[in-house]
Amino acid sequence: MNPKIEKLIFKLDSMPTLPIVYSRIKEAVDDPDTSFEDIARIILNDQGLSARLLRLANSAFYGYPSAVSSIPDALTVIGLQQFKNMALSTCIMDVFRGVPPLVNMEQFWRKSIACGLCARIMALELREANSERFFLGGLLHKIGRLIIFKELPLQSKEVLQLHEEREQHLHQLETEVLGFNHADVGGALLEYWNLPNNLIELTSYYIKPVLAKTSVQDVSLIHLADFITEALGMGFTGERYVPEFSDAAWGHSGLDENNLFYIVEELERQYEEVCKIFLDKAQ
Amino acid sequence: MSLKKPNDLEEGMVLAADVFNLDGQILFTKGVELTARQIDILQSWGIQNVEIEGGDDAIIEDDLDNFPPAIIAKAERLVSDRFKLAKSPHPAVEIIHKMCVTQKAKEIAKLERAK
Repeated sequence: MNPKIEKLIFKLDSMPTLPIVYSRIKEAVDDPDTSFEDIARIILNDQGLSARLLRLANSAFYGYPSAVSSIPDALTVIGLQQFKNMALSTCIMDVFRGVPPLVNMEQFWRKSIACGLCARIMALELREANSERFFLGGLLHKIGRLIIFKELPLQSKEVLQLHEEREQHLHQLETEVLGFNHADVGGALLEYWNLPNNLIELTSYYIKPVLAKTSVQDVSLIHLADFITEALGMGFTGERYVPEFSDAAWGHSGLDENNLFYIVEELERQYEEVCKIFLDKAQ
Repeated sequence: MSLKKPNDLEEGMVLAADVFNLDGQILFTKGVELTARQIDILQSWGIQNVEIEGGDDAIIEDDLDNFPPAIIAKAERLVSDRFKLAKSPHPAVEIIHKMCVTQKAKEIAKLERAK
């Protein structure tokens, strides 16, 4: 880990921890002796989580043709392995409540959700296995910025001020002022949380996917999803400009220009509904 | 009568033709005044287009050429400003840029109609 990040940001007493329900689910899913019913029981103990999972299983995200009315049914629709990622997706926002609102938090999550949806739609289009990890990757791609806002609010204000004055990307100004950017911090956070390596790479290298060590194609999809959703103005994380487009990432992705129309159409079809599920205050 | 995608539907619009799902079952009949719930259903069923009563002034809004030049120019200006740092001449960027201009033009046209 970059020693600067470690020194400035990783103060053990204030680091957000993953929700307990996620570790329980992860343990249960990874244990071959656990039954479907055991896992369903863990979920049912968390009302918010079970409600969101049910709504998600019934949404355009899965496009399942009949109504899914119980948690075991929802687990069948989502799939056990993928479910781990979706469980984390649905509780990650709770972890970051109370971050100083240097940008509108709802807009921040809307951008993150859009990026996740877009990356997952591309992955499905490319017949990638386990497409939910792309959703989670997109959802977390700018998570480091929230840690920076939380731990370094004054410098964050300076970075945002500079961004108003100069025609430079926010991540470049983060590096200039802090010595690291949100992608570095995001990767370090996921590492600290012991999340899988693939997910760490998605967050650490999405700005420059060719630097990824093992999963260049996967990282490329997050890069492209960030580009497309920023271009379409979905949500807001502080960035004023559409990011640089990596031609290499496009090449690695395996996508064809003709796929773009379907991808954007599908993204727009799912966007509002999925945002509603994740951001509903009533939940 | 005009064709609309489920995402562009608004409450109170009236169906000009029956809507079927992929299995050929009827979802809603002609003449139904759409509610938010029904629009949700149309969106989640993956229906491509539905026919809506009225909207003679509606242009087929998926094609940029159908907008007045002043609106296109304004949309172009706003989008290009945001694309300032995305310098790649890659054809994918060109397509996405054009999609964004179309979307922006749609927004501007809607705002002007509302005035």
